[in-house]
Amino acid sequence: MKPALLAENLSYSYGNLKAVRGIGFQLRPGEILGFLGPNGAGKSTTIKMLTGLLTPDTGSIHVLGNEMSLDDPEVQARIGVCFEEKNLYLNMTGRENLIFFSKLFGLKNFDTDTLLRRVDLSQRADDRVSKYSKGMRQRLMMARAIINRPDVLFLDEPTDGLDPVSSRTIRNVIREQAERGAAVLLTTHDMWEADELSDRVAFLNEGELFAVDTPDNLKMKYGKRSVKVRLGSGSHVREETIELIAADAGDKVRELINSHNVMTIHTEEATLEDIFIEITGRGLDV
Amino acid sequence: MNIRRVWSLVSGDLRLGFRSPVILWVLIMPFVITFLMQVVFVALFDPQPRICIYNSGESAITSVFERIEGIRLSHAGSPAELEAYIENNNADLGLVIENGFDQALRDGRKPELEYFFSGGSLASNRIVISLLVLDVLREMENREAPVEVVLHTGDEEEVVPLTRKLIPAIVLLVLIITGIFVPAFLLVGEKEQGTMKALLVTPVTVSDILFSKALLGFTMTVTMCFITLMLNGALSGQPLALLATVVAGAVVCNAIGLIYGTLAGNAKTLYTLVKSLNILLVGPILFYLFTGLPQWIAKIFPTYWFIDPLYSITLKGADFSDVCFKLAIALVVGILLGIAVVPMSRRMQRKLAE
Repeated sequence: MKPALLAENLSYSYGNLKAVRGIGFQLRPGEILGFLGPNGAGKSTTIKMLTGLLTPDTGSIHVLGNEMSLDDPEVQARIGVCFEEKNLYLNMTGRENLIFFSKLFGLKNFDTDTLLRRVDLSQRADDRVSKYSKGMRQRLMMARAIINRPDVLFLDEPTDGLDPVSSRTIRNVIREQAERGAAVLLTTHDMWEADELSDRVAFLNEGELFAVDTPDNLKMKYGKRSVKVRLGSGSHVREETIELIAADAGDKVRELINSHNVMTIHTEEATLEDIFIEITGRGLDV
Repeated sequence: MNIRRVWSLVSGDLRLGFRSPVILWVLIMPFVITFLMQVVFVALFDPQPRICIYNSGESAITSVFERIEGIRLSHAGSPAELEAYIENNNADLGLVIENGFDQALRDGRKPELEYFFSGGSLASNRIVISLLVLDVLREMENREAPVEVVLHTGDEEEVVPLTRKLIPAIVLLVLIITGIFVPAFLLVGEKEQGTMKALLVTPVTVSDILFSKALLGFTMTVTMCFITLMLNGALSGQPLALLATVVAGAVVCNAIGLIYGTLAGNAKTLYTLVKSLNILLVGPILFYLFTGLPQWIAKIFPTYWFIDPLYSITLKGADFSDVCFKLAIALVVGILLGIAVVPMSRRMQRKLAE
């Protein structure tokens, strides 16, 4: 299958500061790729290059086989972008913002109501955006990003600092877009979100790409395969850890369940953050 | 560049424009500036002599004064009212015309006529009014002036009233403020709100954005200048030559506005640019005020090439053929400035993304 997005050997420097150092990856239609990395890792710079806003110092970007360029309306018409910073027309209503952008994409018979309903903004559609909360603005930005049913969707920290309801709405929209066949590139420093949404994750640190794989494969490769069992009752509680790679692991678990009062059993698989730290030597919240 | 996308951008700006204080100011500016210049400024610097008359009988003197242009005439209902008028400096001269004044004048009885001058009246007005009253009385006596007066001004040119002298200045103000501010403010607004980035990741190109701002700026500038000319009664002479001048001026000012808009990252920088560089734009005016300065220096300013035609048409009665060469140069200057915007827009795009 032809990749929806193909990036090869991308580099970018701000003066002497190398922000991105020769990274490359590809994204298939319908796939969600989570770009994980701390602040300053080069995630936003990568998105700016991928959307054509920045011209890479080296490397190439192809969207659906076409070279990415800011001056190519054909390519730009097939992508959707949701930036980290809010950039809406504050003096327009939510509905006016969407209608305005639909005209720029040349969309005819555009159904604003359905899109507004999808991001839970129907009730406030005719209020000026300046009166919207942060979550409402982000949901409107998400709606704007998918206005043209893009083939490739770039989302830069789409749920950063949002309330749980807004975050859930946005995550649902992301899943729907992927199910529709859009390739989604999502940057985040929220490892839980990346784990929840992404088919594959990529670790980016100091402009370098460290690993690109499915969350399960990464956990299998880097995580501890063990279960932690809490036994007892009242104040007499003890914990036992059973390594799952041991040959008799199944027998041990069965024995504990049969002979003791088991309170809880938890798998001890590594989180993406643990793996990120193990690979890069640096935390995600830096 | 795509006309449909440009039109979509213009319609978006129009929708937002009526919610923006800067655009609203541009829309009302011709009315405000015309009012300020023609009413307040002229009233301060070109005051007309004011006469107040109390006519106790049916003297024809009142109707003679009513026919005279260039004075302001008011009527008092009683001598006390006239006295109050003069004391409050609401008139320069008060005249009390007694019953039978006209008949006494015709009979050669030399009736007494008392002048009540306001202490606050200008000496020049007192002289003008005194001579005027004598002229009026001579007319009422059916006597002709003993001499034929031929008027000569210092530079042998037509005497131009101050209200007309101000027209080029008013139009220039509207041209510069609307022509420069509208495109510059619209561009800076997109940058400040971050919407420029959002536009660039749609099929819209930088050229579409720049052209849409210039188009809206151009349309508003030409419209506002025409409203200004109409309000000041300046369209009767050479409307086509004025239209051509305003079009050339709008092209130059819009190009400068685009340069300001691409250079400035926010409104504060834009205002600083405008404040520090606008002296270069209105510079040619200095050469009209101080005619002793070497006039060739004025031609260095890009705005000279439409300011001079504007001045020539409105004040010297020049027609299109007299100014077409300068207007052609103005258009070339505008196009060259527009071309200079291209590399600046690339720099702006890179700075925006970084």
